[in-house]
Amino acid sequence: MPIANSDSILIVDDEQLVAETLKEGLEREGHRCLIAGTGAEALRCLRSTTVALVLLDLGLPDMNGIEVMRAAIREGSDPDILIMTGQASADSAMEAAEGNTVGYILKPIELSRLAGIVRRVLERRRLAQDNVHLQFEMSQRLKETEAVLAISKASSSTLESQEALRRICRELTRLIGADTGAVYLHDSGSNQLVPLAGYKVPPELLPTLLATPLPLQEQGFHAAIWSQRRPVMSDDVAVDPRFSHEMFRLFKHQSGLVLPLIMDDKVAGAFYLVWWTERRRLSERELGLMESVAAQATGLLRNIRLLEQAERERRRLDVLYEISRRLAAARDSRSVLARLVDEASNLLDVEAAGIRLLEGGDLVLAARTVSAAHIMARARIKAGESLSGHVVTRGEPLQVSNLVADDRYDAQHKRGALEHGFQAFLGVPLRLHDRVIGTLNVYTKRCREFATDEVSLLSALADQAALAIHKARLLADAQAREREAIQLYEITSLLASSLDTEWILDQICDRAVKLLRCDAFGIHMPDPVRGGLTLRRGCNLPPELKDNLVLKPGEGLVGRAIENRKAAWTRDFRSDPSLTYTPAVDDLIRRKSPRAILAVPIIVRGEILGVLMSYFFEPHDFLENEIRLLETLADHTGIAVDNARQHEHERQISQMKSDFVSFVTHQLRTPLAGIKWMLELASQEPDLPGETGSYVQDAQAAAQRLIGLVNDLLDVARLERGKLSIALQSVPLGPLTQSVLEETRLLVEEKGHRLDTTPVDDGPVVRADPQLLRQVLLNLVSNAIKYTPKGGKIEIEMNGRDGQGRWQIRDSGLGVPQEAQGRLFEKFYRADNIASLETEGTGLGLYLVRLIMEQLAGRVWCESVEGEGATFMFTLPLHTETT
Amino acid sequence: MSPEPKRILLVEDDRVLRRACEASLRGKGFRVTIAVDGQAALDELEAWSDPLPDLILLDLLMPRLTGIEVLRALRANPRTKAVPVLILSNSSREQDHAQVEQFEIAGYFVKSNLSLQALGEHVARLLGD
Repeated sequence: MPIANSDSILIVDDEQLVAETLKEGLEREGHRCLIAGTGAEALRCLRSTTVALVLLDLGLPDMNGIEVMRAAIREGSDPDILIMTGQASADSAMEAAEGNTVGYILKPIELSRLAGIVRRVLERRRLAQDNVHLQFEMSQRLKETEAVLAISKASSSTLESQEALRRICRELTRLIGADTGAVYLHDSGSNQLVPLAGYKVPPELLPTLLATPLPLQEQGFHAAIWSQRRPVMSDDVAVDPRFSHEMFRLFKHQSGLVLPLIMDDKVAGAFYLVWWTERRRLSERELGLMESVAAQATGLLRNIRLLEQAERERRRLDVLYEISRRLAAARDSRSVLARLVDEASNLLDVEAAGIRLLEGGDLVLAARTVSAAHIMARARIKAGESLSGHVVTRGEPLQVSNLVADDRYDAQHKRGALEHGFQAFLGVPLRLHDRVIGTLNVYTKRCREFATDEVSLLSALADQAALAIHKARLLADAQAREREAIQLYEITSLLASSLDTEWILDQICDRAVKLLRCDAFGIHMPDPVRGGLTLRRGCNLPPELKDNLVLKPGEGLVGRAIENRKAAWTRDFRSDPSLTYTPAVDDLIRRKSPRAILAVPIIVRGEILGVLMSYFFEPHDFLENEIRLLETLADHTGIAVDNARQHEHERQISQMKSDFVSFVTHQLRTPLAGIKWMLELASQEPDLPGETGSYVQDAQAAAQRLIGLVNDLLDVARLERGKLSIALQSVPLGPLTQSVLEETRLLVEEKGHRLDTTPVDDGPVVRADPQLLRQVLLNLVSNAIKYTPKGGKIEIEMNGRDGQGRWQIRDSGLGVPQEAQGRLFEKFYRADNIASLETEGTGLGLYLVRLIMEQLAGRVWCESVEGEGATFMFTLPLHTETT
Repeated sequence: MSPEPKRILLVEDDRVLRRACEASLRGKGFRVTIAVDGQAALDELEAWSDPLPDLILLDLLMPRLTGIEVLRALRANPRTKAVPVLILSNSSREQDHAQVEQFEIAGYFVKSNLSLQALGEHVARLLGD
């Protein structure tokens, strides 16, 4: 180990030659040597220079070496001393042993021995000094470690940032040995460092300290202190230009240390440590220690902030979750929005909040906190108006940190806001499907900037609000649709149950107000007698309107609806210059008519039957929905009225038919009966000349045919109109068939047919009207006889099974062509091939059969191969005792 | 010795029918009195010296008084209450039956569907010949 220069050796000897020799020898060894020839000179030297070892001659001219040694010790020097003496005596040895002597050496001095001794002494001395130093260092480190540990403990024992910083401040002050300490934290609102806590602040200074922030942005001060991003120390604050800010002049102190807390390269806070009177300087090591404590405090601060942030986030998420959960359960948007504005003001820690929604061209107040009564006073503002309007128009969040200076704000609202101490505003748009539907506003009484995460939180709430509104609207819409559909269905089914126009109008009028949710309702219809459109029905309308209102074509909304053939409405007819009325009507409706009017024409097959009217007593904007609903009602009204008219028409036709039937009955049958009876009388006359008898017979047959035709026509007419009274009873088919065959026996014999009937007693017993069924059998049997060439074969079979009575007649006639079989039972239809047959027929017979079978719940049909005869058959329900 | 011929009041407004009917019934040995409408029939009965006719043949659709009104008057009058009435109508049963059925009648025929022969047989049967 090289010997440091500071470790000088002082050679004290009055013999200059000896001293020089020793110096020269020791310097050759690398030591620095001084020489003193007297005791006084030696003491002087010791005072001014640090000396590690003194080679001391005892016999000096001015004083004894021992005395020099004692004086040096007294004066505080503590070099090691090696006595050089010419005569060793017990006394001198004793004397040399006291003090710092490391031994003595006898003259003449052997240089090499001396060098060895010197080297050992110096080495030992350095070791001893190292030990001392090390010991000091150790104890110092221990102290710091304890302090840092205390700081760590202070910081880890609390998660509340203020408390932690207060404790760190205390430990820091103790650690560095300052008299007083204070801690400041950055405030984003004012962008200053505001005092948080102090340690050992003299009570009289405490109010000043707590009231005085450290300005962060001030030029000069900022540059000198904060820009360094590390501790700044002054041992004479009063004259230090870096400490020129008045804060440091508020209380007189000698030394000061600013210890900034740097977070994300920004000053997040600071400690200020004060020494009232001591000129304190900090070693680099101490500064380093301070920095590391500051870093630790910063880390703590960061953790705490993160934790607080996380906690805040968690709370916000909780709130958002809670809100969305409530929204999911909520059915009306009003309560949801009311809760939302409360939450918004809680979450953002502001005093007031509110929501406006777009409705037409207006922004309508949807919800507000109670505190917002004066700042969102107007229920309805225009879409571009005021701060809300601004948010909606721009579709972006809008911040106003000082409302006084803002001129976009509605004057009334601004006055209200300022009167109640509101200073800052934040509004975010409510968006739904990329469309702005309103705004969520918050207002605070502090002058502040809203942070990004606050804006996004408010936006998240706004999203929730938009969803809630959307959902509530959908639900309300669906409910309204359902309600409308049900009521419409009720009305339609009601209308369908009647064919009486007046009754139908009554029903519509009774139900329309409830369906349309309007104040009043009316139906205008043309009145040819009074020469215009009159109010045929009115609900909640003054009777004068019904009695006296006659609208000329084109007059008023009714006229417009008819002219345009579509809905027409006015928000308030009194202030609608486009509507014109004749003076009399004008006077009447001005006094009596509701103000908002919707008119929808009732159009059926291009014809306008009238106009439906929906009224509100106060001005009202009719929504698309309301118009559509009235149009639907108009459609149903039209259909019902039209049906009723059709029915009336049919009833009249039916009446005419009925009249015709009566006419035919009387006017045809009376002369026919006359002809028939006269011919009968004539035929009974004996001795008719020549062919007269046969003429009379032919006339009788012709008359009979005409009578048959008239009978068929009447039957058909009655059956078609459903006017036939039917008396269902049990009818045994066997006897009925026998009776019919009896009646037609002559015809069968005339044509020489062979007729077979299934041998039956009574045959199946069916449920039918015997008179009508008889007509069926008569028709089918007559046809078989007529359409079968002479000498044909006719078979009748009947049976009853599976609840059905079946009757059929097969002939060996021409048969029915395939294509004719389906049409055979149509009115006036006659198959082509019977033209070849000389037989009379009206084409009514089988039609009548079908009509009767339909009335009797039976079925009749024909099976045939042309040229191989035909089979006609019918089925009827069997009669049972229970029926 | 032939019994006293049965007396029939024929109420019919149509001349041809009246004539044919009267001729046919006389030819079968009945004594036939004629009334040309409902009112005439009631007048005739009013003036009728007892005994009353054994049978009334009554048309329904007639001027002045309809057959139904005549029937109602007959049935309301104790004197004529029990006289059998045979309806000779132009209508099928559906049209007038409901009205007719509230009274007790001896029969109902549609004139054009009835031959004089059948009418005679029916009347004879009714009057116990």
